[in-house]
Amino acid sequence: MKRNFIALLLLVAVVSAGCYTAPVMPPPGIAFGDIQAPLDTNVDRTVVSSRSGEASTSTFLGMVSMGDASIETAARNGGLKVVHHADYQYKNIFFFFYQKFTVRVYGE
Amino acid sequence: MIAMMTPITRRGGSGDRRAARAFVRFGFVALIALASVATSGCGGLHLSIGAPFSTPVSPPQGFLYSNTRAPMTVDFDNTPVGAAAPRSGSASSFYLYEPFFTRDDISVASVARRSGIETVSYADYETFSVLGVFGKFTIHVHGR
Repeated sequence: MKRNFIALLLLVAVVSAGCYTAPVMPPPGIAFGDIQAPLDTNVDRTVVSSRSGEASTSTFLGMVSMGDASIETAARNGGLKVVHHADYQYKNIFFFFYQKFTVRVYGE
Repeated sequence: MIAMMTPITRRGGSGDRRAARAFVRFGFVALIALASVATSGCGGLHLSIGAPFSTPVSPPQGFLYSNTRAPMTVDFDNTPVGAAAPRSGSASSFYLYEPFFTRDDISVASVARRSGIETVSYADYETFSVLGVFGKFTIHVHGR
C-alpha cells in the first residue's frame, strides 16, 4: 500500500510537473542534470560583463514550486543598473524530485 | 497498473507474493520509462497540466502549489534595471481551470499607461496556482 502510494505520488509528479521552458534548451539529464544555457539570444555587439546577479525558483517532488527568478530580483541581488545579457541554469536531481531554475543576469 | 497490483498483494500466498513483486518491479520499470518520456519532454513534448498560460521562459511548476516569478522579456541591450528603471506597474488575470470566460487586459501597453511608464525597460511575470484549478497570472512592467 505504502509502495503503491509512493509510486502514485511519483507518477503524478512526473506527469504533472512537466518541465521548464526557455528560448534555448539543451538535452536534459534524466536522473540528474545541471545545465547552463542562454536566456538572451540576441547577443549582437553585447558587452560581456563579469558582474552578475542571480535569482532562482525551486520545485520539490514536482508538487510545490516557489521562488523568485525575475530579472528585477536578479539585478537587485547583483547590484546592477544595466543588464547586457542573461543566462539560466537548470538543475534536476533524480527525475523531478528536486529542480532548481536560476536566472543569471550580467551587466554593470 | 497500480490498481492491478493492490488485490494481488492482499491474497498473501507465496506465488501471489512473487507475482506481486514482479508487478512492482514492472511498475518501477514502467515509471522509469514514463519519467524518461516526460523528461525528454523538456525538449518539446509538454505533459504539464494546470498551467494554462504560455511564456518565453517558465520555471518548473508545482502540481499542488506554485508561486513563482520569472522573466517575461529576454532581449537585453544596455537595459536599465533597478534605480535606472524606477517605475513599475502590474496587472493580473485570474483563472479557474479550465477558464470558460476571461476578460482581462494585462498587455504591456495598458499596464504602462496605467502606471505612467513612458519607456518600458523589461517585464517579469508571476504565477500563483493551487492544484492547477485556481490561479493568478500577473505581469510586472518596469521602466521610466
